[in-house]
Amino acid sequence: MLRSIRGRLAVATAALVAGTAALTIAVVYAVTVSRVQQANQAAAHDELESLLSTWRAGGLEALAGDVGRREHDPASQGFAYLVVEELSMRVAGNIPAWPEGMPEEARSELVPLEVERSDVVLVRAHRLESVRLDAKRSLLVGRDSSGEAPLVAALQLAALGALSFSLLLAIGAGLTISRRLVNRVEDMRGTIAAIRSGRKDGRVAVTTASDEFDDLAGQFNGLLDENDRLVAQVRGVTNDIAHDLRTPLQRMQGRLEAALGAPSTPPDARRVLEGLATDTERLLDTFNGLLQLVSLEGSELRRTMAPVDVEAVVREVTDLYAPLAEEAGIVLHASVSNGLGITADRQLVAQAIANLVDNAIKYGAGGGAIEVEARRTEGGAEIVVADRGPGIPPDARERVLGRLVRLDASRGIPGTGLGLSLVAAVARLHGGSIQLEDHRPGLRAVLRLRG
Amino acid sequence: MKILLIEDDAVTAEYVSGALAQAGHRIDHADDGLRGLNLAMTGAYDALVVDRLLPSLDGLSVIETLRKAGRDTPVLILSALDAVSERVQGLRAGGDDYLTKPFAFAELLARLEVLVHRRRGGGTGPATVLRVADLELDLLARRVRRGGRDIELKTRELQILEVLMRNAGRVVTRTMLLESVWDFHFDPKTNVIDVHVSRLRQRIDKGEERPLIHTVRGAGYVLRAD
Repeated sequence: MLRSIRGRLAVATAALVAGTAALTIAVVYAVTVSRVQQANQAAAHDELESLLSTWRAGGLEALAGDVGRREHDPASQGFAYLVVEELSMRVAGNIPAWPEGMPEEARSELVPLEVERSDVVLVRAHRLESVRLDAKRSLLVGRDSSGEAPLVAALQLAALGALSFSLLLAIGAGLTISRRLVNRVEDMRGTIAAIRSGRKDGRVAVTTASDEFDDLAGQFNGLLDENDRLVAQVRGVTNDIAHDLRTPLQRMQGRLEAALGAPSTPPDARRVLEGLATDTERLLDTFNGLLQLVSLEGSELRRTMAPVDVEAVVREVTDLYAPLAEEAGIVLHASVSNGLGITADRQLVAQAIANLVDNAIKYGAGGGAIEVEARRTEGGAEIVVADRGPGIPPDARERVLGRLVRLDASRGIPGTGLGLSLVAAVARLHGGSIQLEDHRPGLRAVLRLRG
Repeated sequence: MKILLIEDDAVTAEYVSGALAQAGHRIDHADDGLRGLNLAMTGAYDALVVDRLLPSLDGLSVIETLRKAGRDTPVLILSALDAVSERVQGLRAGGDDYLTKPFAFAELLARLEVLVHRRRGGGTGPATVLRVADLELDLLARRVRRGGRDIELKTRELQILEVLMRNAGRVVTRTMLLESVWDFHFDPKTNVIDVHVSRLRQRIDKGEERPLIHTVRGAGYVLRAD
């Protein structure tokens, strides 16, 4: 899931939304809690300062009186006081004893404290502040902060709830956004895949949203239209040329045949005519090859697909070519798995394999053996034809699959430059591929067919 | 032979009838389907050459109508459509052979002669032993003898020999061999068939006074005793 855009986009969106929410909640929580804590601490401090000013004005007696008064003053509820001598003898206040460990001049965090209130002793959490009055006496003021803990707990609960909710929301948002985006991309991908598998009229849907995706889809459809137009044009021109030139060429071939067959033709003329006949045949081969390619690339051959035994086809092709290979001093060796059945066009598959074997014999010259292998692959078959000839340089391997391409090294060998184009067209028609690889040394052609 | 050519393309028609006449055959020509069907129903022809695409009535309908009427004149279909499905359709409609344009005239002639011969009962008969001169092929035992000597042949060589012997005296083209022995309907570019035939010839004719397998320039092979 994480490898697809959809997954990554969903996770990223969710993380972003959830992260933002978590940060906000954390800040609100921290600020609220610290404000409450500071307020209590500050209250204790102010009360201490107020008592100190009483001490400074009237000394111990005034302070004790003030403390006694405040203990019972409803306005001062929530405060606890202690005036001590030598940290042990209570002079005034409602705290029974100086808290253990509490320094003479300090502030404390929450400390549980016993407090006397109207004849009952309560234990409550307090925030404390103490000060030394003189050499013997000290003053301690506590602010009841027992309300903090439930507040913090409530805040934590609220934060946790909000966080969970925002996380769910974030995941939902992430999934929705990514699904929307990815659906659009997926739509385009599906269309492209359909076009590549032969449905040339496929187009990407354009929605009424008129967003960037629609713009992209529009541009893409325009490109496809343009491409179709160009392909049709080229195909039309090729068709016309081949058709128009084929008939006169054919007549020419007929006349040459007749002239060569006539006993009255003088030997000199016969040699010229033979040359002409060979050239004409070569031209016709090229035109026929081109026209076959054109019709294959138009791809309406699907209805001729039938169960084909690849094993049998490979054996038939290799036994057709074995004597030719032998004449060239090459051993043609086939190793095929049993019962290799696929749905395909037998003639085309045979022709494609024949072209590969033919090439291996012609161009794999001087190399001892040609290996032809066929095996089942996931969803189809793989046919490998490997020779030990000079091979094809890596940068030319893609190029030789094009129409009428012949490498300089093969100029001296008869051929139309259409053999591999046909193999490529057959592979495409069968939802497969042709790949030319290095056989170290030699060429290894891998023909994959689906079906 | 008397042959009816149903072809609307004037150039092809002229080329084919001219060459057939030159080869000593009599030709009638119709340039649309209905006229062609009419001639085929009333005349006595040894074979028909029918173009696949015709005005007024297409080639396949001509053949179908003819067959329904009980006419079994052998039919060779000509077509510019080179797809297996087209070939299958043509043969299913009642055609006996299928030739894709462009074709060499020698190919057309060889196929016509084989078709006519086959319809007259030759070539595919139930014979279990084929004989030409002193060459003998026992189809059941898959054994070949020439004079008194046994000849060892590989499967494909045997199949090639069978086709040549069934059509003894008639030209068999490379394409016809490729079709009948391998069932391949494409042009393998290189002279693969020649190598097969020359090996067969080695075994049959080597050391013999009278060779039986002959090459016909620009056409193919013929097996005959002369």
